Amino acid sequence: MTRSLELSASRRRLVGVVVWIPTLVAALVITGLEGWRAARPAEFVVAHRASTFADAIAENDARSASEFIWAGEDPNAIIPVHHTTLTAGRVVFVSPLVWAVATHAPRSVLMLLGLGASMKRPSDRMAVCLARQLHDTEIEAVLRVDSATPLPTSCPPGQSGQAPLTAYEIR
Amino acid sequence: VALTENATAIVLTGRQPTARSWTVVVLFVSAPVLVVLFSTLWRTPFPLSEAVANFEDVAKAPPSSFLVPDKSYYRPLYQLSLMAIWRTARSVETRLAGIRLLHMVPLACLVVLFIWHTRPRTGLDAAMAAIAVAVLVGSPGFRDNMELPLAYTAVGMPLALAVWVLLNNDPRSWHAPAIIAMFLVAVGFKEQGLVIVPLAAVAWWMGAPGASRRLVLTLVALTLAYVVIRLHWRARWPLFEQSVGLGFGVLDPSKVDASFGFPYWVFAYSSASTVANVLFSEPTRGTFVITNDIVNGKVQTWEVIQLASSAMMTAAIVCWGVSCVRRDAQNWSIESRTFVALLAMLAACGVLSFDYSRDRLGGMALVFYASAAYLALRALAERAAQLNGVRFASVGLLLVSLAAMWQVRAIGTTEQARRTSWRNQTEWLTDVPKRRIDFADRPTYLQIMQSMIPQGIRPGAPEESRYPEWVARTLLPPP
Repeated sequence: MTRSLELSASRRRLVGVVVWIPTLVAALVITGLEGWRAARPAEFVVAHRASTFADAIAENDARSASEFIWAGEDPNAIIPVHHTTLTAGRVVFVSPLVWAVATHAPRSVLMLLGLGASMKRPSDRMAVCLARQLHDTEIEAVLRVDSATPLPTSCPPGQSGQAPLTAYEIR
Repeated sequence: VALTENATAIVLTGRQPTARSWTVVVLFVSAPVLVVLFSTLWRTPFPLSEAVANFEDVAKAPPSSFLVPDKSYYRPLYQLSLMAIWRTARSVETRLAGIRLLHMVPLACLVVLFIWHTRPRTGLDAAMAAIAVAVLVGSPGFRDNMELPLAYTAVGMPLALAVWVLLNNDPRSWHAPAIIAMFLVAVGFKEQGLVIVPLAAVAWWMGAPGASRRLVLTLVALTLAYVVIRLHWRARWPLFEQSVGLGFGVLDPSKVDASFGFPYWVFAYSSASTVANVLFSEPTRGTFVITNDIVNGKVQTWEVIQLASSAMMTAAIVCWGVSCVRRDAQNWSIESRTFVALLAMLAACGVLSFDYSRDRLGGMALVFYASAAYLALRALAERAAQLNGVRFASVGLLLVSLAAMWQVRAIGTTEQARRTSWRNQTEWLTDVPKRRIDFADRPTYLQIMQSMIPQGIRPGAPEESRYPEWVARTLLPPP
């Protein structure tokens, strides 16, 4: 009887110890991860991050592009971009907003407008014409509604054979 | 039986000197998940889609409009609380902090009260209590109730547990008024608070020391008054308020209306879905997502963990609960009462979610599911100690598996909170212009939205972690 009770007690202790393991491991893992996250936050951010502001905009990754702005990128600064058809393969300098319109990135357009992109430059106001030229009615509507500045109602015809973005280049 | 009763009494009354120490141990080991969870919630941007419209209501409407029950959603205390915070705080930041606390404090109280309620007496009890905390935090009913600023059920959950604690304690003069007050607050935040009535009825029927016939009759009378008031002001409410999950798909309210002239079986389906979601984590919102993936051979690790951990835990609870009820016959123990209370809460939550099933609607029953899980696991561990050889090893392995799976789920809840934060921030980054168009005729809405943009796009909001794919898919579904 005594032996049976002792055996039962030792098994109870064993169960008690073993069942703690997953709980303690979970507590240690989450504590370690949070410590790691606090020390090196960049290693924990979502898997894909575009390497440049222009790439983030073109990929329609509003969150990623916004991080460039939070890190100091100016949403109204001129950025160098190049594209096989949009710029005929050469580097041209345009505003982030125009680049977002050219690459059919509506979320990037919305993000830029929300984070301070203005339409003070004529080429930015003409972005609505670029959207029309590229048959992007969604972005055209967004630009028209969200712009505090009056936008052109009629657009000049695009020149055939010319890369679309060259007309919006800021020199 | 006497020994078990004695042990249970000690556990519940906390007279054993070590009970407090083990309670502190459980709090300590649960702290990492809870600290991460609540710090994430504190830094999460309010959602654009739900929050702004709610705040517009409380900024514009007179208080009396929230008291008149002429709408299908009647949550007067919730809306008056929001209104009080919104109209008394001077800055947007203070308002949002107050509303955030209105949501987070009840959830934190729930977890702390739950741990205190378990009162583990030994290391083994404490291990089971820690698993039960993971059951509470890792369940869909908890996750879905973390959505800011929808605090209605988050307030009701700790109140239901507090009522249960009082019902099972020796009566004091203030207990009955306190229970009635908590019932009124819970119902005032959401009609799900009505589940406290069957809870009190079960406690009284099963001889809980703090439950009296008078108390139950008072609660029933208040419920009848509530129903009469609701029906008196009943306007032309639509038959289905929100989309309804059905089988492997989802139907819009208009389609449900058109497809089912006789909707009662849809009601029954939605009720059963809420109950099944608490017990098996499936279906979700009435849709059999995991089953669909199994049928199509696309099952993922998180789905296996959710389904297996819930099914195993439910099986353990049922076996333990049935044996307790059989053992006790008429001399009901706290264990039998907890099991029957769980059944009553499941039924009540099911009935109250007849119109559509959502994970959060099972929140009130989840509290009792986790309580029952604690008692069932403790009994299972005691049973394991009596077994030999392979049987001992099997039950031990079962307990360790359950502990591991539920801890993974609890960590998954923290990742879910991060994902929600990321989703909310993305909404603020991209959806504001469209809202300006859609809500052009609502100046208050636009003004509130504009004032909330800084909190929505503030750098450093929590976002989903970068884990290897296999880890990410163990915790959560793909985004």
